[in-house]
Amino acid sequence: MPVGDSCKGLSLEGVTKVYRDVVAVDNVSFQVPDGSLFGLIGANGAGKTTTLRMILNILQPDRGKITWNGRPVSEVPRRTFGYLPEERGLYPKMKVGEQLVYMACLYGLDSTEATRRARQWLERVGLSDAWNRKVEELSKGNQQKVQVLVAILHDPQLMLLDEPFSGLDPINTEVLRDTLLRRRSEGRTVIFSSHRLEQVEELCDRVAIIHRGRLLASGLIADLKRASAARLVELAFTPTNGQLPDLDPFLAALTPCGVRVRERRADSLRLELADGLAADQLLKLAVQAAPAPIRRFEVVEPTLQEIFIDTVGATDPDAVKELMPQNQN
Amino acid sequence: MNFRYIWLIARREYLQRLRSLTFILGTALGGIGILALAFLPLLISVLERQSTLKIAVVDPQRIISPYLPENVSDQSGNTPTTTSGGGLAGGRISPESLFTGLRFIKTSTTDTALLSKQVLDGQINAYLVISGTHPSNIALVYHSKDRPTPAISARLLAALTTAVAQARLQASNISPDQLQAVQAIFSPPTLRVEPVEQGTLKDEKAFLQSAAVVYLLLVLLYVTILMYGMQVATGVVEEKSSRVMELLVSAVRPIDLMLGKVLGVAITGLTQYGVWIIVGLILLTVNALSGNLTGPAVMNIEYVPAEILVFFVVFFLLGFLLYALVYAGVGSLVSRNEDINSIATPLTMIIVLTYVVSILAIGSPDAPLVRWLSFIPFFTPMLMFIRVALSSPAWWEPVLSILILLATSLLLAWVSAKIYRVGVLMYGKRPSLREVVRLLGAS
Repeated sequence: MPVGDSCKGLSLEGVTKVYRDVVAVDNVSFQVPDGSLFGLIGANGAGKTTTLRMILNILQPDRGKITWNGRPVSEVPRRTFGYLPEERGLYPKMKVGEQLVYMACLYGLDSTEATRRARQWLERVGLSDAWNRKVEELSKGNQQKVQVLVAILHDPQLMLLDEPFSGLDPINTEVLRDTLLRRRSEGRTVIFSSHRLEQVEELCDRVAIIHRGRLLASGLIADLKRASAARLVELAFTPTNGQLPDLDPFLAALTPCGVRVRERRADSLRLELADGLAADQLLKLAVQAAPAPIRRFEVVEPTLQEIFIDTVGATDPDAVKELMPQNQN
Repeated sequence: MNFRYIWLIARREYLQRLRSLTFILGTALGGIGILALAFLPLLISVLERQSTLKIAVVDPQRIISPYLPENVSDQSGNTPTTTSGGGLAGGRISPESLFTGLRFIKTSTTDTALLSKQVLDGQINAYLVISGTHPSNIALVYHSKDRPTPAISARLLAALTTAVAQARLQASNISPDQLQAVQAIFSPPTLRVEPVEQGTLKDEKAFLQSAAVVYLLLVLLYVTILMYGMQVATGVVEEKSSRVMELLVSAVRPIDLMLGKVLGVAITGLTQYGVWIIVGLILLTVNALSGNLTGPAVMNIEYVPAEILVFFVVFFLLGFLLYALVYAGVGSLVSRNEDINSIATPLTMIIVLTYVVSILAIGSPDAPLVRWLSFIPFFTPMLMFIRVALSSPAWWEPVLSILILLATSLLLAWVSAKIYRVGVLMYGKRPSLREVVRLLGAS
């Protein structure tokens, strides 16, 4: 990697963290260029939170180094970072306004500016009447909004959000998504961890996949998709006479040719092609064996979820079984 | 260390605590305590009056009773001959002090049953029956509930010896000149008392009062160090249990967080003292303006030297700092309020121990053990306070002890910051001592 690249933005090099006998993060390296929306994905306990904490310098890596624009993160002003911890936490008895101003001041803002921004942001998220209310009096969703504001108020260059979407209703999810996209358009960097991959795929341009403390892949989602060995085809049938097509005989005919079913819905299939089987060959076979008129035949790229499962499965086949149900939500 | 952040944190801590019920109630109760303190001398004098023995004298033949003074010790004071007030240039122990603490009540009744009842009712402490016909063949019987203490026996015997001697002299057939000569021989000498140092001699009453004040200040020192130290620990645990801690350490260094919290709680404590001192001053002013309306019952300011109050505040701050730093480190190791007590118990025990030792030291502030212990940091705040308040240590002794205390606090701040740094993100089971030591080594 050229020097110029590693200097701009956030860079982790060979970062390792060991707790007692558990290696929580194992020799992880990746880059987050400035202005990207970066997804840190992995199952629970993969090491996402530990990685975020090390970037924030709350924890120090046992080995490796983390730099931002060439400076070790321990020397980077705290104002650069905004943080939404996985375990949400605010002073329950403190008033919302006071709390926002206090935290912004801790991050380096002066109190006049902090007050101005707090009012402005509370209004923006529809909580302008909450200024004098105690945090504990707010609903869980609104508490989370306040929590996000704590991470954003001082306009950090780097926002780190640990599972920001968990516990949000669809409306607030939308609000948060817009907020994150706006951050990117303002040239700020956002890193968030999630195990909801469809959300990550929708929002992020780059990801890092972590499994059991190890980095399995990182980079632009588009690159990961292109690099993926999986060749996939989506095949959909038109129901005839109100009857769903009987897919079993169809699949029985195709399977010997080197086709694996990735997903099966009522009237459509997502198929993975084995090496040596070309897509147009499959199309010929499909036309011959079709149980109903074919509505759609498309060569598709793998989803992030598939890439994730494939990547993890390649190193740790057992883990995939555990991950599957978790990623269905 | 970043003083801007320490100050921000201390300010939040202070403002939040100021509004808390604990603070408001505690301050109000303390104010009531000061009122009680103001009326302490009244209490003391009541106790002193009770300590005067009332003895009814049954002497139908009037053989001895004329020679027993009735009113000598009627005053509440213990030193009848000295002038009233605090400091004296000197004093005298006069023959009348033989009767100190004794009050003879001459009674005409001979009904011992009635007198016994009066003793049991507490109207009198004892009665003395004098039987016989002549000073040479009298018998004296002392009736009381309890065996007299050695001090009372000695005083009683001395008083009666003088009275009986007087009676016998009067009864013997000697000439008035000879009588005078013999009386002159037996009259007890007058003892002059002079201070060893230039200055005033503390009178017993002033000493009693200042000892009482010192005792109260000691209790206050003990309670506030314990209370505010514990508040630091609970404050840390609350930040952990509400999970706001992780956010805080992402913005501020743990040592700033810890020092800010300790400072904020200290200022809260000082504010509380400030309120109390103002209440006290108002009380004194009112007392002075109203021309002693409340009489001598109200605490006289000369009994509480200003330097004692200064030392009190200094030792509160330093003692609090020392213990609060440990409490902060200890508090960071647990994540639930219920666990604080178990992990803070050893520390609380140390505070209780120093308190008990200090109470004992009030009686003998000059004992070598007290002297040595007063240089051990954990004992210094209370013990050195006792010493400067009740005894006169050399000037370098409090200075040295304060320096040791400060050095220890610095060391503890460093150790606690290390514990704090790893502790604040630790949840779940509280760690064993061995794990803590390992963490310290690792960080």
